Amino acid sequence: MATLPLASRLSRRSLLTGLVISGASAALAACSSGTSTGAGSSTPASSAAAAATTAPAPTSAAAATSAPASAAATATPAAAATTAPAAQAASSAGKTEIQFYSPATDKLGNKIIAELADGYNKQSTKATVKVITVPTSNHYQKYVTAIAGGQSPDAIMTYDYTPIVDWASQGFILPMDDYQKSMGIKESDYFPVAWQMIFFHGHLWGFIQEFDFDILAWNTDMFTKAGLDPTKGPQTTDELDKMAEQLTVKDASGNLTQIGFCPWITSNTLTWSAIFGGKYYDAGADKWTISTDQNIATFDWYLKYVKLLGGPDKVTTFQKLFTGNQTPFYSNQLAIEGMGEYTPITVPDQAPKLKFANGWLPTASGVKFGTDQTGGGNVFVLPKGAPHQDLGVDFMSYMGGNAAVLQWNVEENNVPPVQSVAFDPNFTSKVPLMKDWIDVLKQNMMVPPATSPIDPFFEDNLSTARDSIIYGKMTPKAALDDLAKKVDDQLSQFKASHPNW
Amino acid sequence: MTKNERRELIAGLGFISPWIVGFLWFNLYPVIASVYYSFTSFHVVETPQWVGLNNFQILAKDGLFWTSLVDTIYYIVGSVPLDLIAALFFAVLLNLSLPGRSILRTCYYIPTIVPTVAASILWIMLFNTHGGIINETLGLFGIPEVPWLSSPNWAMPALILLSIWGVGSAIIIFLAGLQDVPSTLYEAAQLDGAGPAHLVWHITIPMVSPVILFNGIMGMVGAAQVFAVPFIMTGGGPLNATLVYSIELFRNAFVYYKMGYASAMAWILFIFLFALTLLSMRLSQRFVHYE
Repeated sequence: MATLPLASRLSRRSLLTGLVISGASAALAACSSGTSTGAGSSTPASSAAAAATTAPAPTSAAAATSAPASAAATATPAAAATTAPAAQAASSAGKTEIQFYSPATDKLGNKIIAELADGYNKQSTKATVKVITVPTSNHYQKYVTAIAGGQSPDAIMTYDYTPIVDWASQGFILPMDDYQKSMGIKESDYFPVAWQMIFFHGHLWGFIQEFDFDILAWNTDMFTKAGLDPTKGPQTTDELDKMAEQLTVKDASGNLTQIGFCPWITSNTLTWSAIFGGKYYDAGADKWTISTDQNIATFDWYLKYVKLLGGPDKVTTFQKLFTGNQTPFYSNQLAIEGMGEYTPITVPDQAPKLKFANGWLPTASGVKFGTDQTGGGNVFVLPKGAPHQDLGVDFMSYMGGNAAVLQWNVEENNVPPVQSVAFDPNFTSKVPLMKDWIDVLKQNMMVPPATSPIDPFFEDNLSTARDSIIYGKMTPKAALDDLAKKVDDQLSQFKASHPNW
Repeated sequence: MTKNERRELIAGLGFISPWIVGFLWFNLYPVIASVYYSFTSFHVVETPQWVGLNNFQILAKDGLFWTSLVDTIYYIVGSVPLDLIAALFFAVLLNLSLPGRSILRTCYYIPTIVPTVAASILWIMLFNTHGGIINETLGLFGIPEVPWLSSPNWAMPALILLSIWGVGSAIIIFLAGLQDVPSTLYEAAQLDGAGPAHLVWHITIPMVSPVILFNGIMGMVGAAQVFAVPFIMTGGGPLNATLVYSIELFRNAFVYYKMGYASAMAWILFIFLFALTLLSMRLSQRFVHYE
């Protein structure tokens, strides 16, 4: 071995010092924790239902904005996990601190969560909740890593329903059956579509605070300019198609300068399938129903728009003209779109000059007007390994209780899943826009999301199937047959590793 | 071993112990564990269940696995030669005695230190179909707008073009190789009447061929594992046109929580890269010139 001059001068003391420093460094290295990075989250799921009802009068933007003045749900860039200051108050003597992962990075959601957490901290004699905000884009990794690493919080809230059934089937979250009775949770308190989202596979898996779906929005100025009645949106897909044709404008080179309507750039495939009476999952039969006549008809309808608009590349080129908040709809260049039911209250902030109206989605022949699809909503779940399960459930039952549900839905312009809150005058008078959709719920015309553990896989691959259809690579039937096969294969693999699910 | 040598050994090991601990715990253990997991059905919080070769058998029939493998090979075949040619070209230019040479060298290296996320977002804007600087420039020559990132036909070529952005490190390595070429060889060739093209073809390239091999292998390894840029810019789309291997692996591991399946994918990638490297080494015997 070669002798280094420096090493030969090492004394025992310097050697020991070096070892101590090295040991400390190693300990630090071992204790340091990594941070997870972002990943995609996906959109809603499916299933169909229908019932007769009368048409709602279109709701004007003015009515929509009569919701709380505090509404300003401007999404803020997702940063690293942060702690809501309002909820950081030191725990009082004798109270246990519990951790709550919240997805509310948006200004309004963050404010409401902080207020609700404060309210809980004041009224609870047992626990003080610490709110830790985790961006939705990170929850697939952050939550699961925390649970797998034995660092579970005591309660988790998600904005995205898609992973919930998957998490339940993988054992990331725990059933709350033991608490159901003591918390007084009854199926009859909820709208059926909401109950299906939290009670599946024979267990109660969480509390639901609100749920989301898309509503039709049309630009009243553009309607007037095109000679259409601005107070009347399309009620059938045939009417929609005619209006879209009338409202679409191209330049001399065939490039789009204005679009009437385009199904693949607004809302999502599941919603448009619902208005054709289609559904991709039958919860009652626990069966995927992908390649059906209704779903094929939906994509045949997409192809009409491929032809009308000159292909997906033309649409993408048109879309690229708009960035950030200046969407084509907000810029008066897309006449009709599907928007989240929570969106109308944010429009005045983002597009103050936009004049628009809202109404039910149009439906295809034979499908009841008013049919819609929910992609899920805000769900509170109990993670495996939660150190204070009872307190976590206590906090979640507060968040899923009537007062908190009312506050959230009034301020966020959402529909409450709890019937008593939805029909409460304190809600209906403050959020008049939601009245028409409560009618939809009353008549059970809202299609629930898929409660299958492989829903994230299905949704990723549904997007690919849609693209292969609009790019002309596959016919609707071939693409849906291919998707059905992939989903079957995935399901077989899942069943092999989860025989009891 | 003398007492002094033993003492030095202990001191040396002591000083590198943080690295050893880190390597064993954060590198070697996960690598070995992933071999085991690749033969199991493992969903993060459950106990892994031994399934033998089942993951590999399912992979063989998984259409998305093959799509991702084909996309990755497309990316390797497109980007590695292009990057090598670009890097060597710029290195030869930057090796000339030009005024401001050091500044130019710095400029070519800067993209390498720009964070991937920032660079990806920048390139999304540059590749913008309407109003992006690339299409605007092409428009000056009468070339119609290219839907770079939104068309299944153009998305992968766009990513391959973008890979040139990161050739700074390869340029530095080529520059080191070029500066090692004895000037006497050029002088002798010039006396024999060789022109600039002859000098590059008959002297420069053979003399830096070991560096070309090194950069080629490193480029292949890097290209086979490309993740962040396509993940941010296209998410694997449109129509799975940029669904590179690492994105599919990531989805299986962290979106569908199929850790055993993802581990099997990781080991197939390792075997693929190992075979590719061996093949390169074997082929290199024909054209790599060692002094």
